Amino acid sequence: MPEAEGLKETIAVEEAAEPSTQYCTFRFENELYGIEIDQIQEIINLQRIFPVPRAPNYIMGVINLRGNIVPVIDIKPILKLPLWKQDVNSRIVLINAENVIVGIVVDEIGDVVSLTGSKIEPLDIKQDDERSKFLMGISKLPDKVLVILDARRIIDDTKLGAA
Amino acid sequence: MAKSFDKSAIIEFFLIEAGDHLTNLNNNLLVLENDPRNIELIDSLFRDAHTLKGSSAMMGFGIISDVSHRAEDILESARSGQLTPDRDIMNFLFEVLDTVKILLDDISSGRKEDATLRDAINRKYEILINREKTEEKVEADDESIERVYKSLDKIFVEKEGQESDVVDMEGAFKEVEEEKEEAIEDVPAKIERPMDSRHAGRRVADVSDLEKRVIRVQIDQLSNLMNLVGELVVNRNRLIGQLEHVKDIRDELVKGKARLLKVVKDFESKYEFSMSPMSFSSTGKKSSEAKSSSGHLESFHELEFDRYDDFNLLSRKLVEITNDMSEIMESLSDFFNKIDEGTLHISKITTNLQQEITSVRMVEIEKLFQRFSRLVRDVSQSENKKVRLEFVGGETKIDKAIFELISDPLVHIIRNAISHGIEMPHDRKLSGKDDTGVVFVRAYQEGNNVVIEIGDDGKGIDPDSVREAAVEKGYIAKSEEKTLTDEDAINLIFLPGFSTSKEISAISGRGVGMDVVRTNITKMNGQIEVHTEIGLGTKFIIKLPATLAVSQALIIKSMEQEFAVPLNLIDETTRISQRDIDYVAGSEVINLRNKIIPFIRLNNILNLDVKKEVSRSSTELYPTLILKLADKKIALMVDEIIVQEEIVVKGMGNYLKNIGLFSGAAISGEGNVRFIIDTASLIEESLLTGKKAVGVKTSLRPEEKASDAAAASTVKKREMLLEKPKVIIVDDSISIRKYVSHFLTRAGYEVEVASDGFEALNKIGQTKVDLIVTDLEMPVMHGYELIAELKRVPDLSKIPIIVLTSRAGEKHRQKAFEMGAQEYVVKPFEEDVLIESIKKLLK
Repeated sequence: MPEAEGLKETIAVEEAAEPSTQYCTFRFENELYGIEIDQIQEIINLQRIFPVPRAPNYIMGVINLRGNIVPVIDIKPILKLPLWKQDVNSRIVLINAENVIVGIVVDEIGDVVSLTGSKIEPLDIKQDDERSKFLMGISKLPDKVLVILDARRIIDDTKLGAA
Repeated sequence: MAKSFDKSAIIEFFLIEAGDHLTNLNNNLLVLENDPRNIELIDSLFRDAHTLKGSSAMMGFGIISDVSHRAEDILESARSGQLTPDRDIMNFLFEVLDTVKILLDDISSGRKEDATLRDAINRKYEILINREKTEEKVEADDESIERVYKSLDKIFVEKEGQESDVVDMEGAFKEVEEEKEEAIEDVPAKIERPMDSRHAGRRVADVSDLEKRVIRVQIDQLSNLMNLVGELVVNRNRLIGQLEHVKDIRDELVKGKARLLKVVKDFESKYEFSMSPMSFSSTGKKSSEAKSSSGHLESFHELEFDRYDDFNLLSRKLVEITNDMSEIMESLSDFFNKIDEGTLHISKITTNLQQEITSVRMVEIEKLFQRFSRLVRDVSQSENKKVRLEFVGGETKIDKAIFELISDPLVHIIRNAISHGIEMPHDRKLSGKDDTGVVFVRAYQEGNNVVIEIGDDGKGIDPDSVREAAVEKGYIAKSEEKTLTDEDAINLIFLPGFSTSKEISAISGRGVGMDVVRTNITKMNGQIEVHTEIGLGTKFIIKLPATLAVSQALIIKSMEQEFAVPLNLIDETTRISQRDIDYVAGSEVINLRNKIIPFIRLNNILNLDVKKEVSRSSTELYPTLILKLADKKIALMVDEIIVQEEIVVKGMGNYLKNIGLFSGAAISGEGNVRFIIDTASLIEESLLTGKKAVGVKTSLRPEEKASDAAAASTVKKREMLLEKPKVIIVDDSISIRKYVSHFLTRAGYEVEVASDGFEALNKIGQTKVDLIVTDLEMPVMHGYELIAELKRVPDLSKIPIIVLTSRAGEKHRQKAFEMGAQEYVVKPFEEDVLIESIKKLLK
């Protein structure tokens, strides 16, 4: 996976006085996304997902996480990307969003990157695009553009009965 | 007061403590009402009010403090004999209790205290005081509370900057108590409290003594514990299942060992010693070699000297190895037995643990009864009725979670009993009854259930007036009125929005109907029944599970997925064929013992995208659950009923909370998630929406009944979709059986195994098999015999057969095809090859 290797070299972003935030990165096909590390509880291997009948298409189902029922969602359709497909390096990223743990499926986990606020640029997207509230900005890494997501917001907004 | 003081943890304790004081006050006030001159009681009331005042003031809840101060003042006067607790005073005190309760609720839900409540109490207090004309005393008390505040300020100032933990707070509490005790000394009531300081000291000691034995635990923590124990139970069951499997292997091992020993013995007896060279016809060469190597012995007669050739040596070696193997198998077998014992032990401990933790969550229902005394008093007073409340079985224990959930429904039923059931005293006398009505609450344990009966000896429910009201409100048609049995008519009271009372009174008609009562009870997996007799009274019987954490459910399969259906609403299970299904207004119904009930296919409810499944073969029997909620029944068709099991109920979590159709999930022994079907709402919705769009907010497509004709041709295909094809593997080798069944199961087939043709025939006779995979060489009945037998029976002759053998010869192959086998696979083989053949034949 060239993307992942490229990433490894980018870990050390300058450590200036400006406070930096750590982001866990992951891949959807050729695109790189990042989620603030504070929002992530843990990353697990793909395991059997039990589909929830009648749930919307982005809800893949639930997993049995050490005896707890944890929903797993595919955020790709929410971001207007094609549906997620399982791959050898697929993982589930468990997001911790105020009393709810929700897993999201990703193609592959990349490295953790540290970014200062000035490294993150606002995204050029129309305000009325419903995705805009989920996208916190982009950051140009040496060989790739990182799109930073607000995973908690995605979970809050896609919760059943939220709308 | 100190701003930086972090009280959040202590507020929790304060709320618990205040709750206890309120309960004490409530109970004692009720007793006092009948015994107004009981000084001891007044004393105890005073102490509770006093402590409540003190601790709330210290926590900074000035309004609770002020309000309880008013109660304290009144009780003070009562204690000193200045006034006698009459009805007005009692009502005032009860009102104070209610106010404090509201204020505590405010605090626990994070709101500010409502200051207007204090004003209301103060106004009423003034009225009472003016009536009693005891102004001087009030002044004195005001003075004393001012001093208390001062001392409080002092404490907080002193404590400021220090680390504030509970111990500190306790110290502070004590200080306040003491200061306040002193302040109260001024009050002219010394005679009643002779040894004040010692009294106070003892009280503190009592508390710490209690603390030594009792610890308060958050209900959430207990629930977590319960959840873990549930997991333990489920995993234990899984372990036991696996152990059964190990036992099977052990048995196979023992059998294998016996066979091996026998063969080796035979071999040994034949070849232990050399025999005449003539007997080795096939191995002549070897034997001659042996001979040449032992050339020196040619002069001996055969019986004169044991001569060993390769065969003899092989035989001896074989015997040795077999003996070694046998010993290893023996110790392996012993080891299995020991694991077995260990598991049994763990199993017992788990069961005990489960029982113990369950019992920790149990509360005596007596505590619930106490809440009703006050209710009955208030309601009967406002309705001018005389009512006596009777409790039986207060010692019955019930899960704390249920305890809280059942409280409101019971309150509602009791209100109803008093305002609708019990007659006015005058009317009661006319009908020859005692003028005091009786409302009784009885609780008792019945198996895994707790039964609560609530009844009255009032006028009962008149089925005719229920019928009338039902017609009037449009619940039933005028024509239905006559056909409805009395029982069915009474059950109409459980319909949403139904209430027989002509006018809505403030007390009984609070917008919550019997339907809400019933819904709440079914949510807890409980049931409610009503029995009534005109003129004699009404009785509600509520059956509740003793615990919510573990419940009984039927595991069913639908759309290739397992689901759990709570047992409480399953009336019966049955099998329905296509012929039994009728249509009413486009919806499927069945006739169950002369009652038409909606027929619902779970597959259709679960799957919105796939075309409606209209029919299968007309003779096939569909497994169907009859669900019953009060008098309403529906038939729910599933693909398969698997087993009845104990499940640990888990919530769906916040994210999926609004999924609707499922009330939670359970995890099977294998770790699979099974959703729990919310049967109560399934029934409700299927009836409300005219049976069609069951539990679905998005309505189902209208084209549902279009393809009746097309259905017949797709019958076969559907069956395949719905049920896993069953394959039987016949082979005398256990490893082949295990291996093949493993990968076939994984490939989505249901697998049976048999170790020879005879066993296979037996199994095929018992269950329907879609395909047979058989070996050729087997003991008892070999493969060709099996094929011949199968072809002889018309029912079985159509089942496709795959021969799986190590015989690669054309002769064997030819014979198999001649006899009627469809495929011939030679061992060793590729998994894919076999699966492909199976797929091809099952098409």
